[in-house]
Amino acid sequence: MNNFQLSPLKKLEIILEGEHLAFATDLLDRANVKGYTIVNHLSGKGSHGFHEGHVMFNEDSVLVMLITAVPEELVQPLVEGFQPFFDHHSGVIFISDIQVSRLVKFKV
Amino acid sequence: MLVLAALPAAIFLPLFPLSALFVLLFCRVADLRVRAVLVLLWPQIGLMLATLSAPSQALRVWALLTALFYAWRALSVQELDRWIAFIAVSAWSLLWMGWDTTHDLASLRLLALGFSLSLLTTMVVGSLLQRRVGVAYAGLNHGLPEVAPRLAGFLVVSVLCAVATPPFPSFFAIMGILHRSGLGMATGICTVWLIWSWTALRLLEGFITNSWKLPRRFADLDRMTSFALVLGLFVLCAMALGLSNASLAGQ
Amino acid sequence: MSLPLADILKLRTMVYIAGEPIAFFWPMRNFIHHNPLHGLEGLAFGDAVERGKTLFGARGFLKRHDYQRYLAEGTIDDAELCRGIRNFLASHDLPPGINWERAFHCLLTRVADPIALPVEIATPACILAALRGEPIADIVVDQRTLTERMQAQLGGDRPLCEVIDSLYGTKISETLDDLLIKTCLDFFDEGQSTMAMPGREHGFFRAWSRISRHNLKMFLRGLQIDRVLQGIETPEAMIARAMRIQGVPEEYWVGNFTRELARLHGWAGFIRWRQNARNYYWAQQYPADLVDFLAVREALVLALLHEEHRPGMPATVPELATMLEQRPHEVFLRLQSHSGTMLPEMAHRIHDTILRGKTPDIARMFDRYSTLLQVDEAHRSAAALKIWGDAADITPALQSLEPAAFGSLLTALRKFEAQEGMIWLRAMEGHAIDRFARGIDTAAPKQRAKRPFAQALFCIDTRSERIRRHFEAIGDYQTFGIAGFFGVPISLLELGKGHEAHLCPAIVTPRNLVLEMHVTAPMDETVAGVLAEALHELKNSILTPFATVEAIGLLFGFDLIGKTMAPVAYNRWRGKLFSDPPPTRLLLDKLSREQADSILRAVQRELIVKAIQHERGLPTERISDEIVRDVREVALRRLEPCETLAVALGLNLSGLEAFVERLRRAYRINRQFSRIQLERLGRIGFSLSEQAHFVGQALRSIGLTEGFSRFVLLVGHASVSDNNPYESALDCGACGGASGSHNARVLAQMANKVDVRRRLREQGIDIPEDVVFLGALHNTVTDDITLTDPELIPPAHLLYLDRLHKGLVAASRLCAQERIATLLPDRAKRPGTGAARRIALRNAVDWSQVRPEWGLSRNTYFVIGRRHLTQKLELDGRAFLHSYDWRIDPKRRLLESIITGPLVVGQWINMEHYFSAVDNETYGSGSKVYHNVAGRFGVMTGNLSDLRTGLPAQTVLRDGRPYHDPLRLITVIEAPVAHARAAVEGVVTVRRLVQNGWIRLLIVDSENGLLSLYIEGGEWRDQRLDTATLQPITTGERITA
Repeated sequence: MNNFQLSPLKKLEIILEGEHLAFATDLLDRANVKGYTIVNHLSGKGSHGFHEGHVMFNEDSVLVMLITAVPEELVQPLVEGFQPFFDHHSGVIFISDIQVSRLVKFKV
Repeated sequence: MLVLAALPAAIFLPLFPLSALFVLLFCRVADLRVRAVLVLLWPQIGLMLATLSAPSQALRVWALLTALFYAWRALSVQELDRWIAFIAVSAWSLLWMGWDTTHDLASLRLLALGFSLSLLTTMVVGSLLQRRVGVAYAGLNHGLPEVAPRLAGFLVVSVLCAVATPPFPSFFAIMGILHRSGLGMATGICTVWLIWSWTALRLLEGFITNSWKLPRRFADLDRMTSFALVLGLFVLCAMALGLSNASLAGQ
Repeated sequence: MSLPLADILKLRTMVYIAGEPIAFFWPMRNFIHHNPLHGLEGLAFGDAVERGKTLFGARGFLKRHDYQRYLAEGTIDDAELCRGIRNFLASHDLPPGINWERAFHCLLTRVADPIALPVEIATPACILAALRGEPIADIVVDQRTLTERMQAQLGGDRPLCEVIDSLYGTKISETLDDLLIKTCLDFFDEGQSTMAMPGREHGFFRAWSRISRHNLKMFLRGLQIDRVLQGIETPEAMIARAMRIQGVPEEYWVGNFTRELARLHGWAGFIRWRQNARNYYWAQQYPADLVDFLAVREALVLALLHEEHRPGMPATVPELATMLEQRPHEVFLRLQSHSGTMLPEMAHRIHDTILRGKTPDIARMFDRYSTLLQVDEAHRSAAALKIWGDAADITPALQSLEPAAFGSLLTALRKFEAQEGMIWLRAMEGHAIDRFARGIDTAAPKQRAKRPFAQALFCIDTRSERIRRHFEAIGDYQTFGIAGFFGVPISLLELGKGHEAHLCPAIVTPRNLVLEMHVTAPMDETVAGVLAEALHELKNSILTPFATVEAIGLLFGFDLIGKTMAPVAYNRWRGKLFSDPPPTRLLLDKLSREQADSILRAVQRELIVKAIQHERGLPTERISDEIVRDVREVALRRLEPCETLAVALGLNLSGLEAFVERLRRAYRINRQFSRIQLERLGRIGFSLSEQAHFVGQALRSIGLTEGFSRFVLLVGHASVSDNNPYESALDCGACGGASGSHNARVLAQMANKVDVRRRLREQGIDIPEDVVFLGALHNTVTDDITLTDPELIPPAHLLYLDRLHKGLVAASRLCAQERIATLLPDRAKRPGTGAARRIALRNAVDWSQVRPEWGLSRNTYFVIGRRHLTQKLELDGRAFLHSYDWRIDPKRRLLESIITGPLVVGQWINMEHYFSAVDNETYGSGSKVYHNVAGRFGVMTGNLSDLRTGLPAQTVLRDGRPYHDPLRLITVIEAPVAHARAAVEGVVTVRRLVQNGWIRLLIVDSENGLLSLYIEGGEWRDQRLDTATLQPITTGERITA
């Protein structure tokens, strides 16, 4: 009855400091990624020390995470594209395999 | 034949390529007084050696071309000495144009003197500069006003004096020459004059703009010297005005 | 040619990283003080300043003679200076036998200029020989070291065009800058010019590339832009092509880009800001980013390099490396010749030899020149050393040193003079800290018998310090310091303006919109107002000068003479011609759904009436309410179009449908837009709990939770001056460079509401019935304090208003007297209050005044604590004072919010002033006299230059010397040591600022009687509170990295 089909994609989780959010979303837009989710006010620990999660006035120093699902062929350009950034700044990209049901939302 | 006779004159009232002699001599001699004598007497000797008959049209054209050539060369010169030499040659070549049968040599002598005196002021200021920095080289003395404002001011005035800016003597000299030339020659002379002013500004750009980079610093002109220079300039201008009035009145 | 996606993204990221050291440039309409080295705050202060020197060519510290003058005036702590010298000597091995501490101290304090002169060729042995007066042995220059040194100088990330300029004396970089600035001026114009650049909507690079292919001037110059741009569609492709053609290795691309951007750091900073500004109209219309900017620059680089190419000139980086390898002598002579420091004696001959290009000649010339240079350098260095030796009485000792020891001395001297700026800076700060520590009052404040007559909350701005002091002195008043936006970030839509203004610090985005509304009916404009409007329009038209000079030129002349001859009187007279602005109220309560609907309905009905009048030409009486309502319903698809309606409008059915379609499309009366508008209306105002939260937060953060007096003034501040592009810099920085009066009014209105007070009572803040909050405005040029809404004062308080007014006037007159004295020449007598006021009034309207007030110059301290601490200290308007009571802040939330917001803004202001004072030409904006406003958002010097960033000379310098004492902000927190340290640790940005030495931190622990000062390197210096000298008694634990 239902044509339920799952298609494989790659999920990218990009964690970086809030002040670079505009740059990261711009890069994703230029790679023609169809959409992304922003998770705010993270806290965590990295090689640069511990980041508190709450924000007062200054929204720049908190951590944010971008989650996006992209077809396989976009993974390598995106990772290569972000590489100079992570050479100079703290943050990570996690790549995992996922499946989605509505492929049209994620792929051109 | 006429050309051969004009040869000795061509050394002293410089025509290319004999003009190179003056440039060489001027740059070799270091002492201010000897140079002054050189600058004052060189054209006078030239005028004495020249025959009394008017030079041919071909000779005039050659003189104009010489003047243009040296003016153009002065554009890329950065040493003050060489620049003075080139402008001197360029100016004296123009004297060939001012020569026609209706005027006597005496007035030409005055014109030559006008050029020489103007160049003399530049030489005087240049030597004052040289005593302080070694060699007056544009491009290596950027930012002179920061270190020695009075000297820089006099440098500007004297360089402008050399390129026939009113009310200095060389201006009246050029006016005198223009007065005696036809339309074609006059256009040529004005072109030379234009290029002179261009060279003057290029030279000054190398002294006045930007900031002082050299580590050495030195004393500016003292009040006595400045006063003397100002007085000298005034006297020069007054003389020039007076003489030019006289020469115009005597037409 | 199109790049693969990976390369495009990588390039964009590289440009982003490359642009980070360039600080943002906010448009000057809302001047934001910022740290010019903000992008380098991850480095320690000293390192960042070094990097700034490499990138921007700017000094990071004052020259030694400036510091010596400070020492003579007594503003530098000599003991701290000696300590700095000792620390340096401890880590360097110097030959024994000489009292180096005394010698180096003598070097700093008695020798005017640096003595470790940079040398190219002379070795320490030569210099020693010259010092001894011996003949200098001729040395053979080591090829290898020379080549290596030149490779380091010319290679790496230095752009190729800069290297060519320094070798061949071409002016490629300057021409490049000029062409790029012209393009920027054309593209970023915001309606100032009458003829705009075509094609701007396609982006900076695309618009430029279209035009430049047909640019006649470039064609005449011989720049073959066509060739360069052939086949290039995107800016990334252009940059990649340029880098590949020049042969730059990929690891140097980022450094290369940074250097190119740093040449025009004003424009680059502006573009960086603009690409980040989401809601900026011009950025949305005409997008441009750094990648575009760099692409245009690289295209021009290629064209210019091609045009300037001569045989023998290297055209790529590998060719340059080969040239260095094969012809090092020629390279050296070229560098010397075009650096402007060559010895003039041989200049002409060397020039000729290089031009002729014969290698054996060049080698011979090199030998002769290097000998000359060596001797010259040795003599100069020796002369400089002798000056020091004589001043310190160590010349014989220096002369008797062994060459090896002498060499190590020279190296140490060079390092010392490179670091001496930091030593002086710490000594200067030491004195400032000491002065502060001696004057504070750490005893517990006495309990008040009764509440003060009035309390006033001023902005933390340094200018408030003076008036607070005078206000407290003349009567029973109590003052507090709070950030100028009073903790309430708002977006204000003023009467008659078409856009919102964000009234909050630049780092915050406001979430609530406040509207300003008329109280009375709209007034008729006076004739003068209309005329002024018309004249202003005329000024902008291109044909105006031709037609109107004779006609109305005289009017402008009249204005000119009046403004110049008698500014105060003329302005007063002119003010009478224009009607006073109508009184307004602020709408800051959240709208209910019905209210929002009703407003939307009213606005749409207005539009429809106008549309009918305009399109159909019907007179007002023919347009009935029912018609309007029906048309609206049709447009919103809630009703079908019908005959009667069409007839009423004089149309047939199809005409009616067309008309409605036009309403939907052009007038935007449709369902989607209505939804958006309702959302926007939802942004208006604050809910009751939000209002209570903001008021409570503000009161708690300053420690005012009880003992409220009858009047609580909320004093915002603003500055008034004429003909001043930097006017916004003098306004309230916490309000984003605008006047603080609006935020004051908002908070006052909120705090006066009964419902808000009820909520606050539940939270523990009991505000009595008879307390009224009043907004006020402090004009920092005239020191007047005016109440913003006097009509809102309840009748019972009017009795006391007179006393309050008298107090305000007295305080402002005394404050003006003290402040105006600083604006007058040094030896002038202190003026009387009347004279001071006259001068102050004139400063506000005089269009020739380049210094209407000193503004925030001389800011030094940022004090977070109770007023009692600093009450007895006269801080001369040098301190940011934020009230804070640690006893009511056990969780440190309030302290953290203060240091995360206002302290960071204070640090930006301090660093802006610091760098503009130490190097006004590069970090500051030079003299105001040469400024030309560019495009309504910035200034240039002369007719074409980089956008000037920073503060003008008239703000930070006086008579060529620094007026603002360049110090890092001395932050003082009054709280127990553990409490304050934990708060600082908890906020990442501030922790980094403290650790990297961008601010100094002093903790005043009145509980335990301790002063704790953070020294660089993670150490703290503690001392007991009753002695005034900062002698270390314990070194505390390290702050964790």
